[in-house]
This record gives sequence, C-alpha cells and structure tokens, in this order.
Amino acid sequence: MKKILLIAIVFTTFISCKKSLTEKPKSFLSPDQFFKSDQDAILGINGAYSWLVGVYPNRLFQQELWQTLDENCDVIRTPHPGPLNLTPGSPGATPIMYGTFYKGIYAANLVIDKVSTSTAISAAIKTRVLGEAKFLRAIYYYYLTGLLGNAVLYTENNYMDIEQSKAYPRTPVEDIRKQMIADLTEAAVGLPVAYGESDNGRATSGAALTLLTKVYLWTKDYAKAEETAAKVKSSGTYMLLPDYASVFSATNEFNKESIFEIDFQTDLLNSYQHAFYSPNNSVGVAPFTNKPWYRSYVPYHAFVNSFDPKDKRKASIIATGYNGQPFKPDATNKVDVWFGPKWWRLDAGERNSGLNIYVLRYADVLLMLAEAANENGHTSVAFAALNEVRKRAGLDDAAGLSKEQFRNEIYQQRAIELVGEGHRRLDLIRWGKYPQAAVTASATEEPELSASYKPYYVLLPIPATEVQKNPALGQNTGY
Amino acid sequence: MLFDRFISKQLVGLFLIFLPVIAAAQSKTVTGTVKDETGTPLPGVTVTIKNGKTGTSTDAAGKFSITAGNGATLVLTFIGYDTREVPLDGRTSFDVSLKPVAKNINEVVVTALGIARQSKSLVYATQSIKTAELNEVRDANNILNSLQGKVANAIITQGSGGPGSGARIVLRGNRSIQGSNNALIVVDGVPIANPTYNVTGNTFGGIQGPDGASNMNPDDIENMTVLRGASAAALYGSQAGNGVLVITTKKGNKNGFAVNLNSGVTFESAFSLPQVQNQYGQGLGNTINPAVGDSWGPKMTGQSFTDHLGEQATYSAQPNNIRGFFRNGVALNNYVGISAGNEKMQSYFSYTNNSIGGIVPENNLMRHIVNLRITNQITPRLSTDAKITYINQRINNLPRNGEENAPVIDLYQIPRNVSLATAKNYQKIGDQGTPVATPWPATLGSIYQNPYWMIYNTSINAYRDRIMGFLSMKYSLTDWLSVTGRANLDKMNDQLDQSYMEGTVLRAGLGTGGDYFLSNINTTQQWYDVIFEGKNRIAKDLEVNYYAGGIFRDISNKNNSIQATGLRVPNRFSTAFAKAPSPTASAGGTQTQSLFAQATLGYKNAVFLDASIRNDWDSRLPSPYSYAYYSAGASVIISDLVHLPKAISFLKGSLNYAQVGNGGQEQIRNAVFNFTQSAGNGQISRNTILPIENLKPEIVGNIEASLDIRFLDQRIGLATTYYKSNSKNQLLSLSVPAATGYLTQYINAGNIQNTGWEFLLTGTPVRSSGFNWDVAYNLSFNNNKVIALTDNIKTFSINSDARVATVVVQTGSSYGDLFGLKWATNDAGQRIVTSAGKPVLTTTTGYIGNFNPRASMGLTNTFTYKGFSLRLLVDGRVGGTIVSGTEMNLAFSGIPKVTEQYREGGWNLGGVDNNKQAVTNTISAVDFWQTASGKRYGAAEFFAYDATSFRLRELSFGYDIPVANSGFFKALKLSAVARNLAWIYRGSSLLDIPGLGKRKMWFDPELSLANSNYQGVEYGNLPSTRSWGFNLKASF
Repeated sequence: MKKILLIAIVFTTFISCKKSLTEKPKSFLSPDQFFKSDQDAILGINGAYSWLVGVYPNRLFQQELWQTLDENCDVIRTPHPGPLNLTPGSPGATPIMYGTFYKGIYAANLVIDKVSTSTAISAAIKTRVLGEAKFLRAIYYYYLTGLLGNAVLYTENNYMDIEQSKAYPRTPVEDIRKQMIADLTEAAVGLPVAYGESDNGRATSGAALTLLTKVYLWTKDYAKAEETAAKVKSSGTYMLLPDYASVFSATNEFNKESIFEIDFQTDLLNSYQHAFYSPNNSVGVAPFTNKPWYRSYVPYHAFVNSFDPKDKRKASIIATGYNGQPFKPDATNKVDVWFGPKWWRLDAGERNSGLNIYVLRYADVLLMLAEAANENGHTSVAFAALNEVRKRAGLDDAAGLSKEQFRNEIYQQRAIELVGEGHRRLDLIRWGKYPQAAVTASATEEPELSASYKPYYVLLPIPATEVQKNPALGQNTGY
Repeated sequence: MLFDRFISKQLVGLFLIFLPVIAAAQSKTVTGTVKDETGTPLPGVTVTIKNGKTGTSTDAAGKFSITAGNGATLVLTFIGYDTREVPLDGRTSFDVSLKPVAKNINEVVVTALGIARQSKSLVYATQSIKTAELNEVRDANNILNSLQGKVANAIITQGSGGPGSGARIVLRGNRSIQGSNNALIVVDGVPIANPTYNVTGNTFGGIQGPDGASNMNPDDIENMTVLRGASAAALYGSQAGNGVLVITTKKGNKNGFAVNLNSGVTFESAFSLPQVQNQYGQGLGNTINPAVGDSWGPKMTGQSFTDHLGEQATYSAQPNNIRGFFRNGVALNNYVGISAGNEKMQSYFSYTNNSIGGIVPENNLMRHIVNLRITNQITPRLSTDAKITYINQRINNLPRNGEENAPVIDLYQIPRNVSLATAKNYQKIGDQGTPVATPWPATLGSIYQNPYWMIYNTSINAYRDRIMGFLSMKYSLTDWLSVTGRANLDKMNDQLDQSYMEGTVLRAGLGTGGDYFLSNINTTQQWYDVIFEGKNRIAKDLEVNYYAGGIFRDISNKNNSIQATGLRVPNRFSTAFAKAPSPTASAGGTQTQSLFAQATLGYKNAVFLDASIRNDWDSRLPSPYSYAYYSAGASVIISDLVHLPKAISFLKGSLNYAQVGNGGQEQIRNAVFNFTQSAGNGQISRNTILPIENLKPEIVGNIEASLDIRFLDQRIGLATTYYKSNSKNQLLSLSVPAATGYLTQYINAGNIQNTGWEFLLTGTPVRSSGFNWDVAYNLSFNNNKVIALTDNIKTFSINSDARVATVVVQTGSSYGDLFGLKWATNDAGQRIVTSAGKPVLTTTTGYIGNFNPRASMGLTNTFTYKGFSLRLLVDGRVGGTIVSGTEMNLAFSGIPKVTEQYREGGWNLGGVDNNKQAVTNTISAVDFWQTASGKRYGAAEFFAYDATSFRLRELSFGYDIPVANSGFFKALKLSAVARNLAWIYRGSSLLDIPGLGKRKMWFDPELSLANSNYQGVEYGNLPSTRSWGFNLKASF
C-alpha cells in the first residue's frame, strides 16, 4: 500500500499546477501592461494613425476614401460605370469606410483616455500625443460626418462600455462639429509646428488649424474661418512652391507646401492611386502599353475645357499623349483625354507606387482664406489669397469680381488646383451643389449615370447591416 | 534455412497477457500443438495459465511449451479464433484445436486511452476496420479517404490539394458551428495533433494544406476502431465529441524474427472533368476574337486566323485541351517491417517510403517514415513500452484551388480552339533575362493566367519534420491493481514557402522582382498520464473493472512568417533578396489537466454497468478553469441470460448516455493589443474582437441505444444503433455594430441536434472449405436540426464570401443550408423573364439545398477461393446539394457542353413578364448563361446539383502465392487494386431548365474546396482521380 500512496502523492502534485493554466499572450500585449511609458504612448498613437490608411477590409486612404471623395462628382469620370444605385443594402464602399472611421475614433479615444490618466508619461510627450489623438479624432469625424451626416459621438468618456455603446443613437452633426472644433483648437495649441524628418507625417499645429478652417467653413462661421486660415498663413511655415508640377514630384515629398501628407512607399506601404489616374495599355503608347490596368479615371470634357489657355497646371493635370506620341482614343467609351503626370509613377506596377496623398495643402488654405474673406466682405484679403494661387498657375490676377462671381471663381479654382486630392465631393456638399453639379457634368458622356443621381445621394446610406445591429442609428433621409 | 526455427506469423493481441496472477505450485513442463479446424497448425497462439502470470505462444509448427501446475487450466487465445480453456488434469502433453470466431463476439477493441476491452462488455457501438482494407487499396492522398464507404455514418470529404491534402471526416453529422467537426484521431492511446494550417477560406482560392492525419502510415497500423458517439469518447475530453478513430500500431514479435514487405504502385488519372463543348471557338457575338477567353465565337470549321500570340492558326476544336493537361499520377509505396524478440524484449522496426506524383504536373509528394518500437518485460511485474516515429514529408507545388490563379480554373477557361501546344508557349525571356508572360486570352479583365505559367513559374512547397513517440511503464502493484505511466510527444515542424515570379497575375504589380513568402510553424504536444487499472471479483458472479488517472496535456504552437513583396534580384526566391521583408509572429497554446475515473461492473459476464466521470482544468476557460462531464450506460448479453430460439446465436442490447466538453478557443477571454511593424517604430492597435470573459465550455450530450443480433451460428449479424446528440453552448463569433470600434464578439449559445440510425449487416452467404463469400453492409441516416442559436440571432453564416452560395445555420432548419440567388418566380409560381426573354434573378438569396446527405451506405463483398480473394466495395450517399461554382464560372465563357445549344437563338424559356403575360421573345445561349452566371456572381440555383451518387469504390483481386515449401518466403500475396472505378449512379442538376432539362452531375461531390465547415460549394477543385495498381506483400 505504501507504493500506492507514494504514487498517489506524486500524482496529486503533478496535477495541481493551476498556475500553468493561466493564458499568457505571447504575440500580443495586454492592456494592463500598456501605456506605461513615452514609447508606449507613441506606439499607441501610431495605432490611431494607422486606420487613416487602413488594411483591407478596413481601408480609408489606401483606396476607398480617396475614391469616394472624388468619384461621382463633376471632374472625374469612370468610363461606363452604368447607373448609380445606392441603397442601404448595397451601399458600395461605405461599409469598409464606416467601420474604419469608428476604429480610428476608438483608437484615438483609447489614447486620450489612457495617456491623459497616466503618470508615467513625460509632460512633453503627453501634450503632443494628446494633440495628435484629438486631431485624429477630429479628422475621422470630419470625413465620417461629411459623407454620412449624423454619427455616433464617442469620446474618452463613453467609448469603453461596449454593452451600452452598442446601442447609442446618432448625434446631430452640429453637435459633433462642436466637439471637432474643441478638439482641433486644443490640438493646435498642443501640437508642434514641425517634427524631425523621422516623424514626417505626424499632425502639426498647422494641420490642426487647416482642418479647423474647414470645419468653420462647414458651420458657415466665416469670421472664425478667415481668422484661422490667416493664422496658418501668418505662421510662415508654409509657402506655395514656384511650380505646380513639382509639388507632386516623387522626389519632393513633404515639401514646404504640404501640411498633412500620407506617406506611401513602394513595397513598404503601397499606393494604388496612381493606377486609377494613369492611362492604361489601350492608349497604345509606351510605357503605358505594359500596363493592363483594371480601371482608369479620365476627366470630363467640361472640366478639360474649363482651363484658361494660360493655365500652366493643365500640363500636369491633363494628358493626350506622352513623349510626343498621341494616345489612341477609345471610340466605344468616348475617351480621348486622360489625366496627366500629377499622379503618374511610370516605374510602378498597378499596386506598388509610392505616390503620397496630400490630405491638406497650403494652396487649399489660401483658397479657403479667399473664400471666407469674400463672405466676410474682406475683399483685399480675398483677392490677395486667390491671386497667390492664380499667379503660380501662370494666370493673370483676378480683380473686380462681385461676391457671387468670386464664389464661382473659388468653385472653379478649387476644382482645378485640388483635383484628385480628396476635396471635391465635400466641397460640393458644403456648397449645396451635390449632386446637381455631378448630374450636369456627366450628362453628355455618361447619360445613364447622370440620370440615376437622386437628390438624397448627398449623404451615403448607413449600411443596412449596421442598422440591423443597432436600430437606434436610423437611416439617412431618402434611403 | 536459418529461420526455420522461428515463428513467421506476427503475434497480435499482446494486451491480453495482463491477466490476474496466482502463482502455481508443483510446476512441470507441459507441451502441445494447437491446430485449426482443418488440422493446420496455428503459429502465434497465446498460451497462458488461467489466473497465473506466465504465458507463451506457439511456434511455426503450432507447438508450445509451458511450465504449469498439475491442476492448472491453460487459456489459448488467438485473434480471430474463439478462446479456449483447457484444464490440464495432470496431462503433460496434448493437442488442441481452435474454432474460428464467427463474428466479433469475443473481439477485443481498444477503447479510450489505449485500454483494451472485450467488445461484449461495451455499452456503446464500435466498428473495427480491417487493416488489409487500409494498406492494400490505399488512397495516395490521405489515409482518411480510404475509410470511405467502410465506416458507418461517416461523411468523408477530401480537400482538393493533391497528395497529402487534408481531409474531413465527420461522424454522425455536423455539430459545431465554428469549431471543428472532424473526428479525433488517437494513436496508441493519445490523440495526435491533426492541424491543417492552410485551408481555402473562400471561392476566390487558396491552398488546401496537408493535415496531421495524412502522415499516418497504414502499414504500421495493427488495428483501427471507430467510436462514433460521444459515449465512447468520454475519456478523451475535448474534441472527442466528434467521435474518435482509435488506432493501435504494431509491436514486436515475441517469438523470433519476421520481416514483412509491402510494395505497391498505383496509377492515377483524372476522373471527373467538366463536360465541355467542342463546336464553338474563341470570340464574342459569333465573331472570332483571339484576345478574349470566351468561347462565344462562331462554329469551328478550321478557319484560319491570327491567334493570341499573333501567329497564323487554324480555328478548330481541341477536345483534349483540358484532359491532356493532367498527367497520369504515379504513387509508389514501399514498406519494410522487421519484428523480432523473445519473452523479455521485443522490437519492431519499420521504414516506409511514399513517392507520389499528383495528376497536376510538378505536384509531387515524398515521404519517409521511420518507426521503432521496443517493448520489454523487465520483471514479471514491470514492463515498458517505447516508440519513436520520425516523419519527413515534402510536397512540391501544391496546387492552389478556387477561382483565381489556381491551375484548374485557369485551365478550364482555355478557349475551346486553343491547343495545349500553343498554351505551352507561356513565356519568353525578357530584356532583364527573366521570364515574361506571353499574351493569354483575357477573361474578365485578365484575372486568369496561362496554367503552364502557374505550374512552372509559381510554387507552393510544404515541408514537414515530425517526431512522435512515447515512453510508458506499467507496474503490477498487486495481482489486481496495476499502474501505467506514460509520456508522449508529438512535435511537428512545418515550413511553407511560396514563390511567385514577376508577372504572375495573382501578385500583379504588388512587388517588383517577384514575391516570396516563408512561414515556419512549430506544433508541440506533450502528454503525460498516469492510469491505475484494477479488477476485482466482488462476489461469485460479480466482477468490477476500473480505471482512474490523470492526464496532463500541453499543446503549443508558434508561427513565424516572413513576407517578401518584391525581390531585389528578380526571381531569386529567398528572404535574403527581399526588398522589404515583413515578419509576423504568433504563438499560442492550450493546456488541459484532467482527472478521470471509469468503472464497469459485470454480472455473470453478461450484464455490464458502466460509468465514467472526468474533470478538466482547461487554460482556455476563465479561472477556476474547471468543468466536469460524465457517462453512464449498461449492456446486456440477452442470449447468455435467456434461452432464445436456436437460430439466434447472440443478442446484446445496450444503452448509454454521455457528455463531452470542449474548452473552446484559446486567447479569446482577454482584451489584447496587436503590435504591427510600421513606420515610426511600429504601432499598437486594439484587437477588434471583443473578448468573452465568461467563456463556457461547449458540451455535447449524447444518448445511444444499440442492439446486436446474430443468427445461425453467427453467420448473419445485424447491429442497429439509434442515437441522439445535442451540442450546446456553442462558441459563436458575431458581428457587433461597427461604431463600437470592434468587429466581432464571442458568445456561447445554441443547441444543435443530430439524431440517426445506423445499421451494420454482416453475413457469410457461402462458407465451405474452398469457397467463402462474406458480405458487410453499412447503412446510416442522420437528421440534423438546429434547435436554437440565440434569442436575437436566428441565422448564422459559416462563410463570408457569398458569391456562389452562403452556408448558413438557421434555427429550425438543418446545419449546412445553402443560400443563393435564384430564378425569380411570381406568386403563382411562374418563372419571370425580361421582355427580351432572359431570366430574371431574385435580388435576395433563397434556400437552394443542404449539403448534408440524408443517408450513406457501403457494401463490401469478399470472395475467397483457395488462395484467391476478390473484394468489391460499392458505396454511395443519398441526398445533399452541392453548388458548382466551376460551372458558374465556365458558363459565363461559353465553355460547358450545355452552352452549345441555342447558340443561334430561338430559345423561349416559357416565362412570364411582371404582368404574368407570356413572353414570346426568344434568346440565345449567351443571353441565358451570362445572366445565370452573372460574371461569376451568379444565381446558384442554375448550378446546384443533387449530390446523390453511387460508385464502384474499390476492387482488389489478390492471390496468395503458395510458398510454404520455398523455404524462404513465409507468405507472398500479389493483388491488383483499383479505386473509383466507375459511377453507378449520379444525381442531376436541381433545376429543370425549359428547353434543356437536367444535367448529370459531372464533378465528384466528395472533393471539397477545404476541409473546414465550409462545404457544399465546389469551385476550381482538383478533379478526383481514378486509380489502379498492384500490391505485393511478402513475409519472411
């Protein structure tokens, strides 16, 4: 019996090791170990930035967001798209963006929550990271509300309890803009004017002010908009480069005109945008003959015709040939003009260019300053800002325009100057010109598309699957 | 000859020696000869002394010699024969004959934890598989596939990944929604690791990788028992709820030396290829167009035209341009097993080599298995058993399956007039000295590529090194109690590397210079157990057998991968050339600690009560990690208790209830952050899966009743089983509102029920001295019902990619409903067409069918005449629906045979418009098929088939070459074998298309895209194969 006892003892010892049952995440980090140092705070804020680009199927500036911001407006044409039929059940790219906006907002809230309460993080990093987080929260809401209207408002105070937040209703967009204004105002103070080269791409105080100007324009607070844009101008941090084309050159990233830029790099973080804006093999001219690309944007003829003959930007924006060889028109789809070298990366494959996306740029600030000053009746400020942009384009100074004519000029200049940079749809919506401008622009070349726009397309539908999961969201008018 | 003195036949059933021990007094030597009914000496019969501890076995001449007391009783045991007890009554020499066992009555089956028990004492149904049926007609790809038709109520689907491809075996229906439904595989008492690391997840395509089961070597298997229910499995814990395949491997011979050889060669060819048309060639709108992949061109009459390569060619049909791509696969199997030993020590060594060339060119498997097992009887009380198996496997060029960049769809999409000779001009050497793809007819914006590019310029290779082994020691504490301790290791190192030359469409423009991916996956399973085993006689007719013990199981896995998108030196496939190597790593593991006890009370060796209880502590669960489950059952050998009519020779009834728990998934209880390498020293993001803090184990409850009846001296037997199982607390991952910042959350919910009947009929219609005819028939029905999911959720989708069909689990219906788009009908049931006459499709998906068969069956007939034997297996399944994505894909391009009709138009579908008015306009084939197949996002209803099918599965014809007097061979058997010989019956498409009717199913419903729960959709699967070959078994 002694032996049995001995074995039983051995046995009991062997079985009762509960400690080894505790799961230890090896390739993950657990939240209670985290946000304990400056380094942690930076990794955390990097995570909040990451959703701006995203990874499939949660993408923003990787593809779906820049597509949505410029497609189906009055400049860019996708040959032969057929009628546009937006429904909550088939909302196009919306579900991809919808979830990603909120992931970014969640990540920003997490950083604000954890970093602001941490005692281990240095004051300098804390201020900067909180500024970055608030800028990011604001930019996610900027696009979310611009495209989808009312949204669920999450802040560091209410984001945590998922069981409750699952059922939150949407907050009116006016209240969300108040939050954005507060966040951006704070961020503009906390953020540095610039970073060292290794931190290129982070939000600066200039970026916060530029985005704040945009929000003020949306709220039609032109006084504040003018004041904020003027702050960016007077900071002296930014300038227009002498040559429009050089702004977009592959060797000129993060230049003096760039305010907030997404840094793509070949094979590291590939950009797909160039393939959409480049002619493909159907044009029959090398090197495009080697590019059997799936989709190509082309400009509407009305847009091409709107260029002043003197406009130097046209050579960068529009192309009808390369290296002296004319592109072969596509009679079936009525394509005889293409987008130009502004977006081209001729050495790249379809999905591996390093083309950066200029989210915010100084020319935009000048045009916003002109727009706001015009509304405020500050004519000289308005003309000075507008003419700075016109001058660089090789155009004569504008003068003597009425308030309404000036608005039209801004409408025109923003279309050309900022083409393909993710401003057009939101500008048209802000001015109340969507979708009418798109209907008119597409009438000749894409009549099917033109006839299919419905007035309520001004906002995208909330995806049906989301309304199903949280009925309190409601649906946008018309859908 | 030297070996004459030695025993040639293999000794089996060593586990029987653990019998109660009483030392005998006044011993003397007893000798004798054991013969069979016909007087032929039987070698290898175990001879033991009843209630004693010594034993021996008979030699080649059937002779034995043993020391025994005067009053002792000798017990003679031999597998396949009735055990016989012979009281010595003072004799010192005698002859005795053994009678063959009619069927199974005293069969010993190996149950949980390697414990051998008499099948008559079991309270649940089991089924044994004959090893000859596994190692003679083998399936080159996976041993599981060769169980097809032999196991009652098993649905086996082969992953379509060629040799070594993972397979799925589901016993008694699907029960887990997101977990595995695969049966557990237990080798020598311990579950083996059976992971599949690469599983095709959607119809776009992927790799179906090898599983753990495909490493098993049929030649090393001593016997295989299938425990279909949870009842039998209560002692294995997690995963055993899906049933268990219990495998015992070979041990060394106690009496001398034996060598066994088994060599086989099998040839494979494609068996199920799509039916294609050979009248219309490449082009659109009846016009030749060499640039397009569609075959909607004009009739091929040998016109001359300029082909896609810019060369003058003849526009004529190429009927062989699909079949001709596949080669004849050759599978070689060579095995040598050496067994030697004496009373004290036995060893078994084997080496097996498999060299398999798949039917897709360049796809090869090479496998070496080395196995050594040593058993020792150190003292009468102490014995040890140790085994080590090393497996080295290399699979080259695993073919991708699914739609995109898989050789199958790339090939099937070949225009009907493009010859393989033309297709072989798939590349030219470009300016950089690297291959550049030559033009290839474009289908839908060039998403397909020349299949020769795919097989020669891309490769996916899987390498595996695996070591499995154990050490075990058994000590008899008293004559009624013993203890066994065991340590078991299963360690697998897998490497998967993928290379894609620059210019591969799949990787179009992602990286310059080509892409290379390398991943290393290590899986280690450690298992330690201690089991006490006892047996007491409580009263004269009352005996108790019991087991109790503890198990410690730890599984860890590590995955380190490097992706190289873009290579600095073009097409140099090594991470050393990576432009931007991107590493990912993950590590995980689960640990379970268990205590269990099991007892069987036997009354008069005819009534048995059985109960077991087990408690697991599982790392996947929240503290205190613990959960318990139990089983209870009874069996009665009625024929031993009651006097029955003479015709009934055996009657047994049993009833059993059992629960099995499953711990769920690892690492889902705690919120975690993911770290991602990126600019600015990386980034942290919150995992988007909301953790489940109060995770509960899944529990399967199973009730089972069976009746086993045999007639006419065991010549006819019928075993009937009824079962009902409910799986509750299923782990489901549900989508949460995206606004929360999370994607999904886990919940425990659901109740899935399977009920069914199983019948096993065996018989010997003819039994004579020269000729024998044996029949074995199994038939089973399973009925699955989803009783509940959650209060809010009534439908749950298994796959996210819904373009062919969605597999859903829906309350009130059955697991595995297929939903897809259909041909719209109005309230009167009339089919709606457009004013032009084309079919109108529904805008929302509807029920198409369910992938599960309602019944499955297998019939084996074995004829033996003198040295000849002929075995035929016919099997089949009734019911079940499978949607052919392949056909949907090809129909768009005008390739299937069915698209040949109505090319010139004039086809009226007999439908009505929205106002119920008959539409008289007619359409042509292209209108119909492009609508139905909707650019690869079509209506499943047009491509759904009834998967009912019967086939001649296996045939083996063998001859035992008489070598008795050769002095060298002990036995020599030559067989001719074949698998998948012919269809006996195949189901048809579900929809009766006006003007066309129904089409016969052309694909093999057993091949699936993946060995996961995503079944019922066929898309770019490799064709199944017909094989035939020869097998030679020899013993020395």
